[in-house]
Amino acid sequence: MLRKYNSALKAAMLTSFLILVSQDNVYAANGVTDNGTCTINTATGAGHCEGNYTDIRNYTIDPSRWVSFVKAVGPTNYLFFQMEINKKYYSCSGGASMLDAWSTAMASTTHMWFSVDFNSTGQCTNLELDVSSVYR
Amino acid sequence: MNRLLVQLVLSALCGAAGYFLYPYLHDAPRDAVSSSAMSGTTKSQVVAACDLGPEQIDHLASRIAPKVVERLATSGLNGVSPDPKVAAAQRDAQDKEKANQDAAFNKATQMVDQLIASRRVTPEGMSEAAKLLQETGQSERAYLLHARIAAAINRGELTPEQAGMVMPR
Repeated sequence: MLRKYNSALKAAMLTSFLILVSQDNVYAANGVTDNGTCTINTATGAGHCEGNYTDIRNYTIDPSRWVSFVKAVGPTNYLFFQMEINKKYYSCSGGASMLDAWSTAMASTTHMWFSVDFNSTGQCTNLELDVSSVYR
Repeated sequence: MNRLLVQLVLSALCGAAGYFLYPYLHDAPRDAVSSSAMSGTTKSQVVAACDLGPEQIDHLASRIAPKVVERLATSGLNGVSPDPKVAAAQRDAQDKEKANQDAAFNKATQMVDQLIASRRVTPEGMSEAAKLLQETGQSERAYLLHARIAAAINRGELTPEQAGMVMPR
């Protein structure tokens, strides 16, 4: 009887170990994931979005989600951020002081994590980028 | 070998001495003139006195002086009392320009608000509004027009489609 349980215990431990190892391999191969999130204060209209391109692109649970950084030159002359998460659209417009970071965000398609804050008047107030091998 | 080294060092010393003594050696005759005939004058005064007559100097001064006064009046330098007329004229010009810019900005935002209210934001409408800012030298504020669009979408008053935003599908 004891011998029977002992075998089952060993099998369970071995299975747990294999699962842990395989999960670790997945983590090592794919790095940190961020499928994208957006939050908004409904009272003020201020909000926040973040994520990384590859994970957003590959997120099959909500395949409609997307993000883009737009730059327009000429008379209109503006920077525009837009992101759709779970069928809800978020956006903001950035000033000239964000141009350099904006260009970096536009040039990067992988290995980059972004974070955008916006205020109640639709202005992007903060753009944070992290280019790292840990992001897919 | 040592001899060559000594020669090199001496050459370098002579070169350096020549470099530093050159101004003194070449200014010596002029200093002699100024000490006898124009004591207390500077080198530039000597040049002016030699090349220009008193009328020409007056003529130049009458042209340059007002510009210098204007620069000083608006320079903000410590110890320089501003010319009230010049400062006032410049302040008026700045106020007028600011008023023009504010009026153009207000008009542009009204145009954008009308586009939002009509729920049909067109590229032409936005360009027209942005042009008002461009014409008054404030293109850098154009992003604020698009911020109004973004805020309206975020508040749910406008859909991205109505805002004319590109929707990748």
